[in-house]
Amino acid sequence: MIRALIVDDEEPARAKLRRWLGPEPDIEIAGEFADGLSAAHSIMTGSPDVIFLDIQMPGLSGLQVAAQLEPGTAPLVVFVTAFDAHALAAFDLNAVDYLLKPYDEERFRRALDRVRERFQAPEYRQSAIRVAREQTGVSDRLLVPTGDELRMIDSAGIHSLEADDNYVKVHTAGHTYLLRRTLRDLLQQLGEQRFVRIHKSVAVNIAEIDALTPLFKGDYELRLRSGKVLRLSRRFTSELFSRTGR
Amino acid sequence: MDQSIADTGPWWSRSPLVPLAALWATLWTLVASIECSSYIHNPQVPRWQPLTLILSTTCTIVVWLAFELRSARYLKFPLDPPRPWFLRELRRLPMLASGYIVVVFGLRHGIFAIGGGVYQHLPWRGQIPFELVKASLFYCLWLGLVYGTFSMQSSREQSAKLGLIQKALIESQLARLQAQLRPHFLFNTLNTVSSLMQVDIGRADRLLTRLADLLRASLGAGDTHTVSLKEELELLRLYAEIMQERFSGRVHMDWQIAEDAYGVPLPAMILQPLLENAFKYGIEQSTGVESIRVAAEHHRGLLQVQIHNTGSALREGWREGIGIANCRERLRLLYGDRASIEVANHGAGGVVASVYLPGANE
Repeated sequence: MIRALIVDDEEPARAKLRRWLGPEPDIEIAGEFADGLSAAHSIMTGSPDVIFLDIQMPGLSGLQVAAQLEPGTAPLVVFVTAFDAHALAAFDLNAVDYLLKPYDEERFRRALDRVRERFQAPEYRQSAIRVAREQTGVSDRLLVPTGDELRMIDSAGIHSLEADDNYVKVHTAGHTYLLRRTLRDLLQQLGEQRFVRIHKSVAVNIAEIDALTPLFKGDYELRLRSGKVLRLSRRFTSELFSRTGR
Repeated sequence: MDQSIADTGPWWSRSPLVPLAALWATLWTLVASIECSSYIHNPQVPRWQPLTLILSTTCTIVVWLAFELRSARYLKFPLDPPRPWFLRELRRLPMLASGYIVVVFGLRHGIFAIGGGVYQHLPWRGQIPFELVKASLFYCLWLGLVYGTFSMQSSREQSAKLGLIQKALIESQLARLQAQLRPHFLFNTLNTVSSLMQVDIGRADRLLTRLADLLRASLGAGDTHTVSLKEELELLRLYAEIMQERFSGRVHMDWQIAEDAYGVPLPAMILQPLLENAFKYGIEQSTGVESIRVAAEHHRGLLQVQIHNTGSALREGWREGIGIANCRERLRLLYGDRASIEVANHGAGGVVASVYLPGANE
C-alpha cells in the first residue's frame, strides 16, 4: 500500500485528487490538509509514502514544507501548482514530480505511475527536498515539534545542536527540542553560516560563543553565553578559528 | 498659466506673451517710423523732431507692455467662452486709448517745447478721433494675439493632461489584465472548474461562465472610462463568487451598498484591485474563516467605498503595490485632490481600503 497525503488549501482541488486517488487499489489516502503547518506535522508524525503538495498555501508554502523535511526519511513529493515559473524550471532540471493545474485524468495517471516507480528510490525524494531548499533559500526558521504540534522557531535563537542517536537535540534559551534528523542535514538546511561544529556530534551558534579556554592536547573548553560549557575537539579548532576570525 | 512654471525664472521669462510683446513693440516702432519717414529725409526738419515722434510712441507702448506682462490679468477669467473675455478686456479701451493720446502727445509737445520747436499736427478735432481709432485698432489686434496664444497654450496643456489620464487608464487596464489573468488566479479557477464538473455540472458551468464574464468585462472595460458604481460592483461580485467557490467556506462576503450610491459614476476598474488585495492578503494567506465587507455610501456629494477584510494586517513600513498606486494616480488625474484612496489597519482588526470621490451632484 502507498500511503498518500493530499495538501491543498482549496477544497475543490483536494476533491479532485481525492476522487482520482481514492479508487486506486494500491493507494490509501492517509490524510488531507489545507495548510502547510498541519501538513508538515502529519508528515513528521505519520510518515506517509507520498504527498501531493500544493505550493501556494497560507502560512507555510508547499516549498517551505518540503524544505523542512529530511531527505533520508521524507516521503516522495509530487508538487501540485497552478503556476510557479521558477520552481517549475527547477523541477524539470532535477526530475522532480509535479502536476500542473488544471490537469486531466491522463496526466494524473502518468504522475501516479511515476510515483509507483519512484517511491522506493531515495534519490527522487532527495532531489525534491534539495530543490525546495534551493527555492526557499537558507531557512532562518526551523520547524520543531512541541508536544502535539509543530512550532516555527527562529534559527538565530538556537544555542546549540547536539546529535543523539537518530535524533538531534535543538537547544534554545528555554527549551530543548528533539528532531528526528541527522546533524549534517540539519546544518545543511539551516545554512552553515550561523553554526559551526565543535565536535563530531555537536554544533554551536557562533553568535552564542562566550569564551574559549585551552585544555591539554589541543582541545578547548568552550563556554556559551548561556553558561553552558562544551568541549571543542582538536579536529574542529581550525574551522572554528577561521570562522570566528581568531 | 501653470503655477509651477510661473514660479521659476525672472518675471519677464514667465509669460508666453513676452515674444508677442516684443513683436508688437517692433511693429509699432515700424508704423511710427513709416509715419515719420518723410520728415527724416527732409533737410529742413532737424533729425530729433521725427525721432521724438517715433520714440514717444514706441516708449509708451513698451512701458505699457512691460506693465501688462507683469500682471496675470488675461488669465483671471476663463478663456472659454471667448465673448465675455473680449468684452471684459475691451472695457479698458477708452481709458487706454485716451491715456495713450495724453501721454504720447504730452511727451511730444513737451520735448518740442524744450528743443525750441513747435510740434505741428492736425487740429485736435481731427487728430484725436484719428489717434483713438488707431489705438483701438492696435489694442484689438493685440487682444486677438493674446487670446490666440493663451488658447493654444491651454489646449496643449489639456491634451497633455488627457494623454496622462489615458496612459494611466491603459496602465491600469494592463495591470488589471495581468492581475486577472494572473496565472495563479486563472489556472486555479480552471482547476476548480475541472474538479466541480466531475460532481456538479451545473456549478461548474456557472463558474466557467463567471470566469468568462469577468474576462470579457476586463477586456471590454477599455472602451469606457467611466461606469456606474452598479456596473463596477457587478464585476466585484463576479470576482468574489469565483473566489468563494475556490476558497469554499473560508470567506464570508458582506455587501452593504446604499441605494442612492448605485448610480454614482466612477472610473472603471478603480475598486477591483482593492478587492483583489483583500482576497490575496486576507483570505489566501489565512487558514481560518475570514470575511470581506464591501460598503458604499453616498452623501453630501461624496461617494465613499470601503473594502474591509479580516485575516491580515499592514506591517510597519509596508509599501503599497502597483495596483493601488495606479488607482491613486488615476484618481489624482481625474479629480485632483477631491478624491483619495486610503489603506489602513482597521480598528477592529483586518485591513480597510477606503475610496472617496466626488459623487453624482458634482
